[in-house]
Amino acid sequence: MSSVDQNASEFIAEAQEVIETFSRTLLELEAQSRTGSTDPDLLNAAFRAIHSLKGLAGLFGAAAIGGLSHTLESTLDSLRLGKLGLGRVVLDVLFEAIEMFGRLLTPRDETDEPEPDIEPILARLRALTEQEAPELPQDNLEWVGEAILSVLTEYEEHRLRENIRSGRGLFRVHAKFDILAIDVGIEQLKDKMKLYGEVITYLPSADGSSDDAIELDILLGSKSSLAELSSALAVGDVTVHRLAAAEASSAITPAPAHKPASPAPASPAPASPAPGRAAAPPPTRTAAASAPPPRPAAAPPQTPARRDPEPAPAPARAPVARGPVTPAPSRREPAPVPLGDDAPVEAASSETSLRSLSQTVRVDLRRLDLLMNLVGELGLVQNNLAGVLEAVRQLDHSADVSRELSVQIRDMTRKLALLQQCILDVRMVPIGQVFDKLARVVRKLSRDLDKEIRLVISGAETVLDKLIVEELSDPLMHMIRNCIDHGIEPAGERARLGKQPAGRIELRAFQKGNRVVIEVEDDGGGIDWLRIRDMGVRRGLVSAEEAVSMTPSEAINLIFSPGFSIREHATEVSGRGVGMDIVKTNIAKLSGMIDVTTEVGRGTKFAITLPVTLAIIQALVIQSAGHTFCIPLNSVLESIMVEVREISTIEGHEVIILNKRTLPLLYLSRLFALRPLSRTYRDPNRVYVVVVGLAQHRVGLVVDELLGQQDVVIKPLGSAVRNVPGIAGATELGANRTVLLLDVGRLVDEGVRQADAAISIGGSLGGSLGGSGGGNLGGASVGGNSGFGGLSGGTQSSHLGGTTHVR
Amino acid sequence: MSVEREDMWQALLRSGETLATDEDYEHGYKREVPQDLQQYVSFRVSGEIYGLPIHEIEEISKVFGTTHVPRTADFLVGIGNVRGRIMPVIDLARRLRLRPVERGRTARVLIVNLNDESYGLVVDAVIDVIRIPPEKIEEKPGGITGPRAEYIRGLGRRKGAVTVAKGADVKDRGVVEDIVIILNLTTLLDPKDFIRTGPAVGGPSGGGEEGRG
Repeated sequence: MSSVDQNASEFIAEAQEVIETFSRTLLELEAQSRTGSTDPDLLNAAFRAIHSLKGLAGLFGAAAIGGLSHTLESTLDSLRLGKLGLGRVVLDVLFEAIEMFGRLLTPRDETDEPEPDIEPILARLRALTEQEAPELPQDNLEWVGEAILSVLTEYEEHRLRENIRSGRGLFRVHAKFDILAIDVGIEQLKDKMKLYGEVITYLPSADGSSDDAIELDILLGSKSSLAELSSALAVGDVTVHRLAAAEASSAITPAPAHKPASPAPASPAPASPAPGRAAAPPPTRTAAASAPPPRPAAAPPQTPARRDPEPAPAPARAPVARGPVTPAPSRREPAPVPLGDDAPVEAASSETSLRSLSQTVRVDLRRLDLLMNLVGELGLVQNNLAGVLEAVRQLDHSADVSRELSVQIRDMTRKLALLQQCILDVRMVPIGQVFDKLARVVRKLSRDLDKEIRLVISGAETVLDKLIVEELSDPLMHMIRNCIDHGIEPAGERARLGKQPAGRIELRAFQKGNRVVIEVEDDGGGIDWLRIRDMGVRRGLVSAEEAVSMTPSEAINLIFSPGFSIREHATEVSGRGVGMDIVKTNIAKLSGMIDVTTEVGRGTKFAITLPVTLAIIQALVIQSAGHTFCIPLNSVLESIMVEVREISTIEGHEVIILNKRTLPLLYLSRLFALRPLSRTYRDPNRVYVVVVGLAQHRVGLVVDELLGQQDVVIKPLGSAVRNVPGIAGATELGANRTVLLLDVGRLVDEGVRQADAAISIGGSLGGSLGGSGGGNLGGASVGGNSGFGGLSGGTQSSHLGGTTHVR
Repeated sequence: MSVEREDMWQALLRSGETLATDEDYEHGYKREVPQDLQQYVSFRVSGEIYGLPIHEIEEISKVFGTTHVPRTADFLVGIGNVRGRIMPVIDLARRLRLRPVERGRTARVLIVNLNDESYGLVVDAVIDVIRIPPEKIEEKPGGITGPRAEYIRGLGRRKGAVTVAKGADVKDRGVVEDIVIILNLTTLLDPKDFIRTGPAVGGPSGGGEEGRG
């Protein structure tokens, strides 16, 4: 590894992908192991992931990684074959191996550390396999038939035994596929069968009766009855037979020479299991077996039992890890294993997983940005073309030409929109990528702090812009740390409070309109706002006078101030006073908002609301004093026209009553001190109010015109203008017109503060200026002061001033 | 928008230097230039002559439309869009706190590059490209103090008659030595100066720059 290879980065990226898959699978397995039964498919996926990693390492000459994956592979093989139980100790070592891979993959020249020593972990892995569980007494499987047994691999035999042990019936599913459609057919059948049980093996039954069809026998272990399976699976050329001890003599034989029993396709023989005959009586059973007793086949039909009670696993897992098991031919003549020297592996599976890995292409995000820019510019060209079309139309004698041109332009517009959508889709990745990393953090922290934590993840398949997903991992990590360190109480205390000893953290993602909401919820102690407030005073974030008039939500918002920490001393995990302010800053940078709901003794919920993408958004185009601005539509609640007489003044601050709630008004032209660009006629009796914000933080932006809504491509502002408060970015609105995008979160913040200022100071100021309009002007300038306080020193700025400073 | 890279070539041709092509730049043209061939693009702002090293200038463009950005310093004309790139455009006269003069048709925007970001600098006129040997650059300008000093990298002198662009001040014609004030982009374009601090009440009056072009 020490030699920096030309291909090193390619290898690292690919290896990381494989390790992520492995880690994800392991986490799922861990979750399942708690419930008692593990999905053999998952173990297989883990095994395959490590196997392909070994292959990769071999290709790139990464000896340490190769060595580790080789040993790991043996361990996983033992697990797969049931020789080793999947317990906590084993999982610990496996997770340690993941950490080790991470360290091995860190380029040596970036760290001063020597190459990590993999010997200790290798030794531990070996130790695991050496203390293998004692062989269980072998069940007598002869009734299954020698013909079948003889072709089963060790693994398949193990699964067969497992199935019998857990009281499942054995079924032979005979299927005939057209040779051209076999991939699709098998996949469909496989998916269906998975709902009912486990596919143990595929046996070819090549009778050569037809050149364009392939017949297969599939050994299926299922708890369902034959009738159920028949009705579910037996369509077309598929028939289902029960395989039981008595039937053993007529068991199918996969040998080519054997004449197939040619099962009558018309009648799937629903009556064949004689009542009273035990389903799959394992002749010898150890009393210790934990599996439920064998169930008679004629037992009341149960609902097709999905074995996996968990919600559907993250979709990202499937394409890489779960290569389709190719039907048997390759099993007979195992293809030479690429690396020769290792344990027998299924060549077919390793081939498939390698192939699916190469189906994805890694693309630099900057290239996608470039493409996006180009599409944006094409949009401008298209606008220009529309202009040309107009010009052509003026010349009436070229009517045909202009019609043709307009058709072509319309076509181009459509395809351009499609192209834009496609590029956007490419940027979208499931948030599960981050959740998996967090799951590892939770696991590690819960061990370090000796708190048992159950992490419940949902919505991992929710897609977000890659850029956002990347930027989210740090904030979420901070939040999870806080949950575990501050939120979840120690087990003893939890028991005293009558809570489950294991703390529960829920990580949820879901789409809500054109936004994505990510929630982190714990069932810990909650946040005591009084304690936060007092700590805020002690840390000098608020003055004692301010503290007295603080509301609970204001106090809780203090946790987002820089330097705030509830801990007197920093611990390993948290307490250094950096964290939640960075969380807020990072999320604000992504034009997101964060909300906290907490209940003392019950827990805390953080909800992050984010746009799905930053690259393109829907915007409301407005005009104020002749200047055009865009407002992200996802923060616009409504836009209304308000009669001037509906505006009332509270403490010198203008408000309207909307849906029985008081809505403070902000004049964009005053907020931004806009100089009127042009004299446009405006009805003095009416104004437009765009209601922006979220939940309790709502503000009405007063503007002159609503120009409509539009999809806009957001362009970053350079470092010089990036930090202008209230401005989030720029966009082009045709004809090279650059328009600014408002930072609504910031303006709402300012609005709320302005209202506060108006209430605390406005009494005298607004009073002295008098009048409704003047009163608001007073309020506005006061608001401006406190709004910029953070930038100009921020000594007198209110409790939120700190956040201003960061942004 | 017609961007006039031609302008710079014209200026270069007039100065009689060997022209460097894009390829030369890519292959480290700058490194091959002997020290005494350091070249500067000189331009006029409010009657004074300023200069910037030629490699800091990406292109010279005609004045283009910009969008006013609220809450920014008065020297920021706004943000402009040059072929899909959005950049801040700065009024150099205001930035250097000079008395603004009426700009004519000779006004240009120098598109400069600092730390991989583009900025536009509005100048009254581009004059030409000059050579100043490094030893002729006065590193610490003694005469100039006050706020402007930090934006100045040094003072150079140039001999001979200035090819004055039409409409500019005629006094400069002659054999006197002109002083060229070499600017320092890093301080000139310091991001912290762009955001207007203090109350959001309007800055100096006059010169509604926004919406030109």
